[in-house]
Amino acid sequence: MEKLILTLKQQIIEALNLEDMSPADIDDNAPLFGEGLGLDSIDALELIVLLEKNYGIKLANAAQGKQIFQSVAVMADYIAKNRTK
Amino acid sequence: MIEIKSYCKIDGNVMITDGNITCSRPEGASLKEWLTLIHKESGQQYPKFYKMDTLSKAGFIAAEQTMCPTEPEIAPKEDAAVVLFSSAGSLDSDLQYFETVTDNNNYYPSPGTFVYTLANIVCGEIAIRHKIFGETMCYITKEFSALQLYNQLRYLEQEQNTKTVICGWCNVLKDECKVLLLRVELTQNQLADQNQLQEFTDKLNHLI
Repeated sequence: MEKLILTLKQQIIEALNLEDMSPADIDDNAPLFGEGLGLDSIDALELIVLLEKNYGIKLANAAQGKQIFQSVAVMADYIAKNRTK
Repeated sequence: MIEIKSYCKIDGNVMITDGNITCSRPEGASLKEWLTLIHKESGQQYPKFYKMDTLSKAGFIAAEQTMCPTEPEIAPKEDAAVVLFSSAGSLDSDLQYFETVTDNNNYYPSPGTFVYTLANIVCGEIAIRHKIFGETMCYITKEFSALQLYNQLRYLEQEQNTKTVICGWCNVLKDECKVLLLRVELTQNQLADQNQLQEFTDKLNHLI
C-alpha cells in the first residue's frame, strides 16, 4: 500500500500541476478538497480521468467521487480494491 | 484622453517593461518553463498560475508587470476593464486538447486543458487576479490594430465610464509568444480628438 500511495501522490502532482509540491508534502489522510490541498471542481474531474487512465476505474457517478477523493489514503484503498490495470 | 501608464512586451526571448529589459529567456528553456520561472522569481504565491495554459500565463505575467500590485489585498475595481486582441486565440490549448481525444485506444480528454480552449479565458484570469469587475473582451484579429484598440477604449470610456484598462495584444502558439499589454487611464470627453488618435496609434505601432 505504501508504494501505491507514493505513486498516487506523484500522479496527482503531475495531473494537477501542483508545482513545487513533493509527495512528502501531501499528508496521506489530509482532505484533498477544501482545506488540505485546496483542489477545485476541475481538479476533481482530472482525478476521475486519472483513475480511469492509470487504474482502469470508471466512476459511475459524481457522488462516488466525494467518498473516494476524501484523502490520498482513501483513494489508494479504493484503487487497491477496484483496479483493473 | 488616453494615458499609457505602463506597458509590458514579451517578444521572443525578452520581456520589456516600460522600455527596460526586465527578463531574458534562459537558453534551452521552453516558453512555458520561462514564464513559470518569471512567476517563481516574482515571489508570488498564486497557485492557480501553474494550472493556466501558456496564453493565460503570458497574459497574467504581462498584466502583473503593468499593474504592479504591492498591497497584500487587491482592491475591487468596478471601473476597470480588460480588452485583448489575439490572432491564435486559444489554438495552442485547442491543439493540446485535440491530442487527448484523437487516439481511441488512449482517449482521456483532459478537463484541465479543456477549460482553456476559449480565447477569452486569459481576460478572465487577469480580471480575477486584479479584481476587475468591468468589461472583459477578447477579439480574434489577423494582426494587431491600434485603431481597433483605440475605438474600443473610446467605447469603454464613453459608454461604460471606464477609468482603467489593461489592453493590447496577447498571442501564443506552440513555443512562440508575442504580447504587448498596456495599462491605460481614460479621462472623459477628450477621446475623439484626431491628434490623440494619431499619437496613440503611432506609439502603439512603434511598441508592437
